[in-house]
Amino acid sequence: MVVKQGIAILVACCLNATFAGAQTIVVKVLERPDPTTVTVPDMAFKPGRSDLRGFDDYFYFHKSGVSYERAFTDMDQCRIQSEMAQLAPPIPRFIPLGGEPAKEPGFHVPVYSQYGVAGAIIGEIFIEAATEDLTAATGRKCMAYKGYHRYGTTRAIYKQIDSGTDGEKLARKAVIASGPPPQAEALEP
Amino acid sequence: MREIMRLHLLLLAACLLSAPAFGEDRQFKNGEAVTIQPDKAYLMARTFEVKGKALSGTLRIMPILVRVLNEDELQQAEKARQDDPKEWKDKLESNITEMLAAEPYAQANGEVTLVTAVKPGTYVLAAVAYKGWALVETGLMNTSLCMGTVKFEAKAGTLTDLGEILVAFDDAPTTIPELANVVAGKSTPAPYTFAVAIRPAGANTTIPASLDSLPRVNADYRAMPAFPNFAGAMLSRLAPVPDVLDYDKDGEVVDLKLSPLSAEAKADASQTDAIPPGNQ
Repeated sequence: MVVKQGIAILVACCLNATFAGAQTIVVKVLERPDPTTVTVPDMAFKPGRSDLRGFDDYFYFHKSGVSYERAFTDMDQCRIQSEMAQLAPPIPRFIPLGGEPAKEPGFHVPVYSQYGVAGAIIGEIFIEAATEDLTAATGRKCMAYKGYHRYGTTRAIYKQIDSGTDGEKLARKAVIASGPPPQAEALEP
Repeated sequence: MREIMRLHLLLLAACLLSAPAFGEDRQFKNGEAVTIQPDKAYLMARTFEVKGKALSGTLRIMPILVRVLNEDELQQAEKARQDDPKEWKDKLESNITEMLAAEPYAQANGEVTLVTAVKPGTYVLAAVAYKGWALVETGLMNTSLCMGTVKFEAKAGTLTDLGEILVAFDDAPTTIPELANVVAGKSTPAPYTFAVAIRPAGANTTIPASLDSLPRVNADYRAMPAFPNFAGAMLSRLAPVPDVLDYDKDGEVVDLKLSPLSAEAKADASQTDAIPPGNQ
């Protein structure tokens, strides 16, 4: 991930990427679904070697004694905090402390950059991938602060958990986080 | 690999960043005379140079402070955002103070003293940025303290001493006592972020002789609950501050001046489903 972020930032620099040209977007709190309407996959699996390698990408959280409602709120707050994180953010000149959470535009490569449309597309791909990694890393740290433990799963199970709308994904993860304790050992946060 | 990351960050910053201090803040440099103006508050903080790796050289730490807005200012900001979602921040008075590491009031043996005149008000230690050799005029944001930090009053006509702002890379062990048990001390998924602590000013804090005669108070720190990650950096939280700030097992901020309970006792009392600050 470090290399990917480094490449993305270097690409952004070379393509003269900027933060300008996009508007501030308010990040709304998600509506919490009724947990009785949420179905989760069977979480049991026997990890193979390839599964172990994928635990940085495919994982879920659990916290003993937490309610579904609290888990959903915690995860939603961490989602908001993560969405607001940017690659190499500039120092802001104004922060609406006390106002609604809002995210700033990240790096954007002008379509007609000095390397043309192809350069812009490649740059955006690198930047998007690195930003996704940053969002995931921020979310993991946030959840660790809130006392959740992280557990690995398979790509197939994760894809079932992480399907549907943002609210449905979060609800599924909150049901799992507040459900029976996993048998596996927790991973590093 | 981390060195590559750092070099890229510095290159990027050199490409993109060239903003001076915001608003009406004024940085005092090289021991220049500080004449107290009755309508200004004055802040003093000490930071320490951090040794970078490879080509990044020595890094200087920049505390990023946010002035708390009153209700009118918040409404004005909301209106500005709705009217012009792209450029709205440029139309508002800045409430950010970056204590510029490039313009120290004094420096010796790796310790850097920063003195800045600001608008009076309540300030939050919201983030930490740094400055390296490739950053010409300003710094690069590193760590957002949005998961818990401190705030303090900066009163007009007074020099408020913030004490020492301490940082260490999260992915390496440190000998700084306040951070020794805070840093991960090994590779993390959030590379290149700092762990941050404060050491409040006390009886043994050294004051530059030229500032000794000024009206001065030590910052009266109070715990500041989590807030949205407006700084946009990798999220973190300030290390616990004795008698001021702690965290319970759910990560909620414990205001030790408001409720001098232990964090554990507070944790037992806080098993609610209340929406955390910032999500309301």
